[in-house]
Amino acid sequence: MVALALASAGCQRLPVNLQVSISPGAGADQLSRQSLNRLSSQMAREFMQNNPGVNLHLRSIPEAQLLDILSARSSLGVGPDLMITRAAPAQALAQKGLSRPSELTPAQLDPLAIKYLAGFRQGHRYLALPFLVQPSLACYDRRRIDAPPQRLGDLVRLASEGKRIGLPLLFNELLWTATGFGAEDPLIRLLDGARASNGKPGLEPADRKAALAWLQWLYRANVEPTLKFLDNGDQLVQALEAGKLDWISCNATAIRRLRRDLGANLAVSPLPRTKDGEPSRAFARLLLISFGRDSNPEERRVAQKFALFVLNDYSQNNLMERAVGNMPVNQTVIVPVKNAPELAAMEQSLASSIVPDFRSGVGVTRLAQPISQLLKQTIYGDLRPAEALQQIEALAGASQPGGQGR
Amino acid sequence: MNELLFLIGGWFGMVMRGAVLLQLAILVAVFLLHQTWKRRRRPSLASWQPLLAKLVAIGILALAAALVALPGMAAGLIVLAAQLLAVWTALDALRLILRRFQNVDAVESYWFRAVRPLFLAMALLLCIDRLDGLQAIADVRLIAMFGEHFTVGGAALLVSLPYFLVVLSELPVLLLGLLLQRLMGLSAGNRKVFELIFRYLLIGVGVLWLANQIGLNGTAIAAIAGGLSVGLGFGIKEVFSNFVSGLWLLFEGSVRPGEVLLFEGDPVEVRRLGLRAATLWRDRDNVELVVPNQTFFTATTTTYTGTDRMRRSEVQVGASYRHDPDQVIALLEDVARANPRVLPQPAPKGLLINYGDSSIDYALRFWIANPMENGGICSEVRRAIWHAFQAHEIEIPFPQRVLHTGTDA
Repeated sequence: MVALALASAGCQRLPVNLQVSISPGAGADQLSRQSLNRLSSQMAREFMQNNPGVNLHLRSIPEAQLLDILSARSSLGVGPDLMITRAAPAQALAQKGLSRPSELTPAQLDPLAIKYLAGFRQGHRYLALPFLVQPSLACYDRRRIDAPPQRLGDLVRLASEGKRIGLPLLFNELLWTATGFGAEDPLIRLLDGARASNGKPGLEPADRKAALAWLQWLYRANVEPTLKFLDNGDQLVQALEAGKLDWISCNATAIRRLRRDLGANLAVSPLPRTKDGEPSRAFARLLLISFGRDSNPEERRVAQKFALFVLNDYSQNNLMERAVGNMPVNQTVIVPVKNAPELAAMEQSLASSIVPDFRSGVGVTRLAQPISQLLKQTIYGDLRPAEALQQIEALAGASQPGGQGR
Repeated sequence: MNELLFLIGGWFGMVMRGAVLLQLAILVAVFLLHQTWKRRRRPSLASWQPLLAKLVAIGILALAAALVALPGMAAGLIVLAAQLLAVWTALDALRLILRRFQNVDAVESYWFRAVRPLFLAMALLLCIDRLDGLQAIADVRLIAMFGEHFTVGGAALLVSLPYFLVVLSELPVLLLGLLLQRLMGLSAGNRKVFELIFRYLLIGVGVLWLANQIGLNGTAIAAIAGGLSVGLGFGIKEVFSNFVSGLWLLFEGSVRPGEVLLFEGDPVEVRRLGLRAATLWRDRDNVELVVPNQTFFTATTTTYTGTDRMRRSEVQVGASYRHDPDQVIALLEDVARANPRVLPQPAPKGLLINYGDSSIDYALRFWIANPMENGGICSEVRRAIWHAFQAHEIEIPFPQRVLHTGTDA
């Protein structure tokens, strides 16, 4: 009997343990981190229920330490099998060889109709797969503001009428205000490494003029006592919760928390349009799935299976419904905009959003921190707009191959 | 607990990867090679040979890492092992150097009690951190207690921190004590008092920090304090009494480390005054006596080192009735003065103490600087008396009894 039991035990396959690292955003961005951790845990539980013999181990790693930690682990051969990150860290992982391209075939991916996929293509493979997209919105307290400002000018007018307006001092989250000045696209191109007509990293004269106008607008806007610039989105959300602000620009992931505190008084809308009535183009957060380089064939097979699972209609729909703020990348999923005004606002915002991929927009996220510091100095008058722009151009030049930063 | 097992199961998956298995196999092979060498040579603690063997092992590991990395395979585990071994070798070299300049027992004691466990703990933490991140395992919940979750990190701190607090606080406190002694001109006794009090403070702060870290909130501390108050009344009142006695004795200064006491008829030196008990060293049989602090608190203590460290010793001897007592006393005092370990002041004093049955009994009283050396000095003085009496033909008589028979009467 004992021999039989041992034999049967020996026949059982060892469980496959999959390591998944999650780095949803910068250090201060607690909202999206909590939201994503919760969602990922739910997905992992469902996947394990459907796949007995698979154990998913989720690890949250701060984005700022992601490269160092994964380099150290990968040097030991114990790097994760899957990594969920934003676009800039995903690109850095791919460039440093810490992730490997997806081995999923078009036959497996095509039915999922994944949005934004083309931006991650290299040859016949994809360096990363889009997982979720989180658009930017306007969140406000309907007790204080009856109708959301339609244009950027309306926003400043509201502030001058005494409504308390909050904007983030993070470059990538503030860049939507540059759309109407024609400065957004030139700045994105600059930070992605595009060169001016003289062959040097920098802006064309017309683009420089547009960027200067935007910086000057920011400086003037700060003069308005009820228009406040706070360091990050978390602080804005806290201020709206505490009733210290009436209107803020926010990421959609904050809706859940704000709804808990403000209840029916919370209203969301797309961000104000430009003075010409064009929609402002805010940066949406795109979360990506990258595959680790240390997995053995079995782990890689299960990792791909998990990636397909979280991208299928069922999971993407669940992700959207379980946590407000996450929009599916699977285009076959129907977003019920008629029944949910928040989803409608997100869908509308997403239509005009800039979604960073490996070809465009990554530079904005990568250099967001130092440029945010320059913006802060400009807004508080420590730096003239022209000086700030000069330093932004210098930063962009230094971060490019062959630049001072290399 | 299930969460912990699940997490460790995940490590098993990582370790079973081919690249990791290869590295582990190399590490095990180098370890076995080193152990085989060690078993054959059996080097002593003072030998430099193990150091050379470790250097060879580091070289082998570096070579293996280079070979494994050549085809692009992961070799970080071998590099990590080589780095840890290099740090260990440097520490071992430091130990061997310190043995030459410091007390060997003290160096070895600190090495085995503090350096080795600390290094092993740090190495283990480093490996876990590299493998999966310390936070991941530290946050694993074990049980709920007083509304707070008791985590693996809390359990690890609870087990290790008190030990390291007690052991590791020794050296910095000692160095600080020496520095203060030099700066403020403290006596050796006062320095030791300062060291002990500072150490207790350090341990106390560490324990409070630990309580905070493992999530003991105000309610929990109140509950524990309530339990302790009952416990103090029954089981642990002796422990508490000894602790308070120890603190009192420290301030009073009668049983400080370095003091010489008379305990159960023997001179003993106080080696340590701990939280619960004092450790006394008895010279005659080289034993250490661990005596609860409250013994000194509640009973009379005889000390040789209260106001000074001198002890008055006494040697008794008998001489025949035919010798002039003045000559014998002068000779005895000369003998005492001639001994370098007898203090010249107060001067040795010879006394005629009794007319005995067989001899006139004399006492030679003299002062010595170190009370613990009394036995040896008395022996030297007795031997010198014998030689002096021989030289001056002074007889130390045997007991005599004269019998008178009836016929003589």
